[in-house]
Amino acid sequence: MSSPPASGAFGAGFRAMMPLWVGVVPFGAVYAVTARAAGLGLVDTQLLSLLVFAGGSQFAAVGLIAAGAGPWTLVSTTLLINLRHLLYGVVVAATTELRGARRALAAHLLTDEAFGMHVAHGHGRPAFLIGAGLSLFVVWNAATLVGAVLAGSLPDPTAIGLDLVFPLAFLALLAPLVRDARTLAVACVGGLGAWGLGTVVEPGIAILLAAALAAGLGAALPAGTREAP
Amino acid sequence: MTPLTWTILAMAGVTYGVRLWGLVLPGTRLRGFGRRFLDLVPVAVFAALAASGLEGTGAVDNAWRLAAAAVTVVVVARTRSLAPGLLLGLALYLAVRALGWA
Repeated sequence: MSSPPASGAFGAGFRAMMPLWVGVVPFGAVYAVTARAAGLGLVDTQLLSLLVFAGGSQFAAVGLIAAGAGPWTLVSTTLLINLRHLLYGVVVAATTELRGARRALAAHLLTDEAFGMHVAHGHGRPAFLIGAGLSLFVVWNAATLVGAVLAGSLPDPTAIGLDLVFPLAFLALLAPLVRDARTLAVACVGGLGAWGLGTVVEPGIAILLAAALAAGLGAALPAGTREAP
Repeated sequence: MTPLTWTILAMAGVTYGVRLWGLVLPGTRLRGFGRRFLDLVPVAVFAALAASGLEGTGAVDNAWRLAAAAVTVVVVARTRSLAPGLLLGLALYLAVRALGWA
């Protein structure tokens, strides 16, 4: 299959993320409301979204700050939760030609969702990854600003069920990739592993451990099943 | 700058460092186990991310969340397109929640 032309790849990446905005907007706002409730100022609340730009670790940080955690706890927890992004970078680098300023920018925009969309629909185009990443970055930061300003007067998205958009999005990205016994086994181990480990460690760490275990087991399986093209 | 601002800068530094580190590692040269491992990372990660967010607040809620997940998977498999499956599954669950069934 030939890749679509590079022109328009940025827009394609940006638009591909739009179905996810329905979940990103309320969660960005709720993150900001939670941060303000934990005592963070408007600037620090926004800086976390602008500079860290990793939802899970931002929520964890706010919880830790509310509990009175110190700087080292905050930084080391952030590192542990976000360590899974190392895997994303390695996978992206294997298929996508990124150099210089584009690589520097792509690194900042490499979230769970942008990685997923790029792997599924990016066809190795750097502009698609940056478009998808920026789509999420703009919306997440706008929602943070709105939430930080309107703190206290917004409904909880989990209370109406909007939190389900994230697992559904990852299932929608997963479904086309499960093509043989090996990928099915990897998906089962990854899913059950993260679910089981999530009861004993931070979700970000559970995802990292379960994904590494599942991919490792899958890679070690005898080559009886041909990899899908 | 508050003392917290410095901590936020350090948090941003470790996060960016991890993301950039992966992008500069020479993954393309991998063969054999390493190559298969990388090829399987998306499947493993998507399954782990989906599973970690799927659990709800009780047996009835979980059943509806799984039903919405099934709708998403079936529609995505049929249409080969992300948005319709995602939005249909979500619409089903939001409707169920709005009706007070879950």
